[in-house]
Amino acid sequence: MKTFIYDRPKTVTEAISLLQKYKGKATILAGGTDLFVDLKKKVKYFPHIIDIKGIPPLESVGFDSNGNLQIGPLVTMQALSTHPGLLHGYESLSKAASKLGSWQIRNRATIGGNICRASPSGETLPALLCLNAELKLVSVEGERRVPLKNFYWEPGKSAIMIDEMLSEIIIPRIYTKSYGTYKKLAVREAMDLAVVGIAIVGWLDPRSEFFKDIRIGLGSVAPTPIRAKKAEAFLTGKKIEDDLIAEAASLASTEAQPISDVRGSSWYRSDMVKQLVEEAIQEMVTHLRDRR
Amino acid sequence: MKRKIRVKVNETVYEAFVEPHLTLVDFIRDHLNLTGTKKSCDRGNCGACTVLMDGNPINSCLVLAVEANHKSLLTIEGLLANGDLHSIQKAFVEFGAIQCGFCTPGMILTMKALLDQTPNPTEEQIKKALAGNLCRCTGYAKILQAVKAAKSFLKG
Repeated sequence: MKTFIYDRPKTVTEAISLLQKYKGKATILAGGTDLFVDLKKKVKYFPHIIDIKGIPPLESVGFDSNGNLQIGPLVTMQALSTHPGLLHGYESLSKAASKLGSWQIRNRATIGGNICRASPSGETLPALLCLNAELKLVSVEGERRVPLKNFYWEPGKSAIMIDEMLSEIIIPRIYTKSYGTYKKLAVREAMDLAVVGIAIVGWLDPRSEFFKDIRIGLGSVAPTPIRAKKAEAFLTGKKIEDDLIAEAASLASTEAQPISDVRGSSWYRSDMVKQLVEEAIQEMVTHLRDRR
Repeated sequence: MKRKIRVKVNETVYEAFVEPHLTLVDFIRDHLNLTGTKKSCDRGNCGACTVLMDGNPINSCLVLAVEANHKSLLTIEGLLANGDLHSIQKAFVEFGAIQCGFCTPGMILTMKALLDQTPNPTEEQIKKALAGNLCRCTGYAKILQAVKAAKSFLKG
């Protein structure tokens, strides 16, 4: 790697002032599992690297007094995948985190990095979309909150400005009787990007006969991760039937706009969206009914 | 501009002045002369560069030496105790789980971390833990056998 100037600020204030000072010439270093690959391949170069791992509050994950989940950008995939509090609905996020890369990568890769990398196949992104995550972005100018659903523009490009830093991820409180899951189709069992990634979060009525709320997140099948809003609207309030679920899965499939690449053709991906959405919804229904 | 780091490797504390862009694998191999850790893909794909940092496996090719400041590392050399091989190492030898040996240090360290954290892992858990360590020689079968034997031995 080409050499660079390395800073390790002790506070967020210090970090954002460095970002402003080196405007456009600096990048944030968190886990490094993506950045260093790009630096080594010479796909990217930054004369300044700002390592934010010296700011402990950025590593915290927990629920506030209102039951909202607050996650610091430095929380690793490993920490997310094993966190005992990520149940009912939040499992979509912990399951997704557990599928990223390898154990070695998960011990370093962070949720902040996964979000800011803005990859259409970002492992945690479909689940975060289902959970209506909101991002806190800070700079010397102040703080702003951006819903994740408005954060992505195109592959690799997000709404974050060059002098901004992601300082927190907020997930609004979710109904305790919800269920979440993440399904990843990939060529390999591990160490692979998703060909198709599906996240589901939802809950049923007290008698488990109707879909009360259902969120369907799709990854790797559009320029950005997306929610299958038409499929969601189609299912909400309806009586649970196999045919209904199959039809919703088909609808979700029409909302995807996959490309053909080395990992799969667009028609295959569309087909797999339908398959996996159907499986995921059935899994949710079975799980919620068994739980009663 | 060089930065001072203080890092514990296999129970010995080292102090060094390093360039920021120096990766941990290069620091371990070239500065500390601990060449048991291998550099293969240099991209975090193969796991040959695996070392344990504070007990957890990481790809040392994707970590800077400066990031290891104040950390505690275990490399394959650190498994030797009074000239004796660790049980996992003995199992690898006994079960023929080593051919060219290049993946071996990484494999063994990942398995040490797994068995330290999960003393009785299922086959599924072993495979998932080993997913980041590639072997081109053995086909993994002997490695799995060795790990299962080591697990039984360590449990006592």
